Order: sequence, then C-alpha cells, then structure tokens
Amino acid sequence: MTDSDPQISPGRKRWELDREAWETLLSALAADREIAGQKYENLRRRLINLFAWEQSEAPDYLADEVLNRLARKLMEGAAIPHLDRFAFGIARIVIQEQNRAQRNHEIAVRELQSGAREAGHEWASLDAMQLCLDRLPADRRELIERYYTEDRAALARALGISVNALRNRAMRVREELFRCMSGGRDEA
Amino acid sequence: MVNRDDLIAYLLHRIPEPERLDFAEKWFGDPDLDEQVRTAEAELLDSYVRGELPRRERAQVERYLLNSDPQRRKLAFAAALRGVLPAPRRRTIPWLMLAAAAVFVILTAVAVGIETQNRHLRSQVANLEQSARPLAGGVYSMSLIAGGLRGGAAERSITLPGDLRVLRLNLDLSEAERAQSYSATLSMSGRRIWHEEPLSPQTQAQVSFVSAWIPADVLASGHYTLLLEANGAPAASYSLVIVK
Repeated sequence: MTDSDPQISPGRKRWELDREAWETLLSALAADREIAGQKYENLRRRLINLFAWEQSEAPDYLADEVLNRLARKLMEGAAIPHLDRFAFGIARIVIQEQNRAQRNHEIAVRELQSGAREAGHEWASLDAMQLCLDRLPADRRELIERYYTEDRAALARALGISVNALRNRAMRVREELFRCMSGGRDEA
Repeated sequence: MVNRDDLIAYLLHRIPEPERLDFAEKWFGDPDLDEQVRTAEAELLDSYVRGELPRRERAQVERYLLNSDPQRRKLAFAAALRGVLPAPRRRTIPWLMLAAAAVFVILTAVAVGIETQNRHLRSQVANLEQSARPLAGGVYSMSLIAGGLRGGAAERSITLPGDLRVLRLNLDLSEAERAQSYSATLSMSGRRIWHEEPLSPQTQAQVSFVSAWIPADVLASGHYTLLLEANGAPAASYSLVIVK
C-alpha cells in the first residue's frame, strides 16, 4: 500500500505491485517468460494509448493502475480467461473514476506531468533521430527515407505494391524509430 | 478493415461517447485494428507538423491529441522526423510556369495597389503577436517580420515558456521573393542549428507567410539569424533573440 492516491479517487489507498504480484501477472500472460514480457509491454502500450486518446493527462500512470488492479485480482485467486478483456473492463472503470476525480485533482496531475517533463527534456533531438535512422538496416532506412521524401504513389508503383501496403510498411519502420528514440521504453 | 475516416473520427472525438468506448474495446482486442488506429494517429501528427492539415483538423489535433506527455512525445517525434526527412519538393510544371508568367504581369499591377493595405495589415498582425502564443501540448506559435536581406527589422526577443516542445515561427513573406517553396536555416554565431524544407507559403488575412517548426531542444538562449531561401538564393532574413 502507498499513500492516498489523488489520481484515482480521494482518500483511497493505491495498491502497488510487489514481486509476487508481478510474477503472478506474468505467469497469467504466458508460460514463457519472454513471451509474457512482450505481452505485458503490448498490453501496457495499448492501455497508455487508450487513456491518452480519452484525454487523460497521465495515461502511463493510469495504465499502471490498471495493471496493478489486474494483478491484485489474480493474487486474490480470480479466474480470468481473457486478460485483455478484463483489463479493458478495469480501464473503463478507471476512465469513469478519473473523469469524476479530474477537476478536483488538477494540481496533482500537473505535478506528475512536470516530473515526466524533466525526464523527457532532451527527448526528440535531431541528432538522436539521425542516430536511430543510422541504426536501421539499409532496406528499412531507405524505405522510410523515400516514404517521407518522395511522391508516395510513384514510390509504391516503383516498388510494385499498393499505396496502402507502402503506408503499412513505412509505419512499421516509423514505430521502430519511435522505439529507438524512446530507448526501447515506449511504442507509439 | 475499418474506413480511415472512422479512425480519424475516433481519434478526433467526432463520434459520441458511448460509441467511442465501444470502438475502443474493438481496437483494444484486435491487433490489426490497433495497428490501423496507430497508423492513423501517426499520419495525423505527421500532417500536423508538416502543415498539411486543414484548420479544423489542426484545432482538433491540438484539442484531443496533445493532452499528455506520451502524446507530446509523439508530436516531438513527428517534428524531429520532419526535421530529418522533409517532405518532397514539388516539381514545377512548365505549362503552369508559362501561365503564371502571363498572370504575373497582371497581378503585379494589382499587387502595387494592395501593397499599402498589406503593410497596414502586417503591422496590425505584428502588434497583435508580441509573444509566443500557446496552441496546445507545448506547441507555441509566433510571427516574425522579415528585415530584408540588408536588415532593417528590429531584432525580436522571444522568452520561451518552460513547457515549450515545439516553436512554430510564422515567417512574414512581404520582403521575400515570391516562390512556390522555401527553405529555412536557423543559425547562431554562424553555426547552423536547424534547417527545414520545403516550406509552402500560406496566406491569411492577405498576409503571406511560411511556417517553420522548430523543436525546443535545439534552442538555447542567444542571438539567432533565420535565413529564408527560395530556389537556392536568399529571399529574406529574420533576427531573433531567444531567452530560456
């Protein structure tokens, strides 16, 4: 348990993930540890996007809150056949709680954000972007460079693929670049 | 596959709330749809930093997609990507140039007549925009009046807000040679800090300008020169002082 949580609801204690709960959550995601880690990151990324697109001001914090609650349910022995669906259900409740609490806790949110800003100050420099581009394999680097600097219809014709297929390929490389810029932390 | 317009409608909050969450539940459990939404968002942010969105969509992006640090990181990423991989140059079509030359003769006469009025309007714009104007999500906008290549405009001082992520500079084109596209180079003590091209001219309230998008992390306190070039030749110069 930690101090009262201003993000979720006033006066309520926030339950934190301990090692045992973390292991329980990973085991529920997949038997293989590496696959479980990937599934965890994927689930967290989707939760962050969900909260961000619902205009939450601290989506990563709320994503962790959902994962904490999910782990707690598992620790309590709940049988959860579809973890994704269950996580979405918790997220839905958190969105409602957050909407109720938001107006009363703007100051706390601002404090959280200012902390995150400090950490991300040098985040998207051109040098870092160039470095990440340089790290890409030659074929993917050429694809993303041409996608952004050439006529896309002509490029798709030259590659013998549809514009949609070109877009999908380019966006995957873009996400790879984003992960590189994030130091492997985030996904778009 | 979901229609792209539906994805944009979800991201820009154009669908009612109950349906929003129903759609969210769908993409949350469907990896393909999840990827489609992320692609739509990436394209929106790319278009936003490249100045390609209509005014209404720009406002909706600022209102709905730039509210948190993860979202602002996505915007800063798109701006950096634009800095390294600028949009393609537009090819000049010969017949269009011929027609433009003919029209130019007529427009020159008209332009002389409205120049006086433009100067007045530009003066008003300059007076109105004395400081960087917050848009959303750490994006600030301000206008710079050209000094011409021989100087002449007062050096503009800008105090950068603490939460600045991207500074949009609207560069007045009244003193610049007219062109279909421009490039902008920001220098400090002769050292190149930032370069961006192509920049397409826009016109609002009879004032023509181009917008340069500069990530905050390339800006330190000091005196800067911003050189605007058209067709490889200097077109206008702007002076500014950044205070952090």
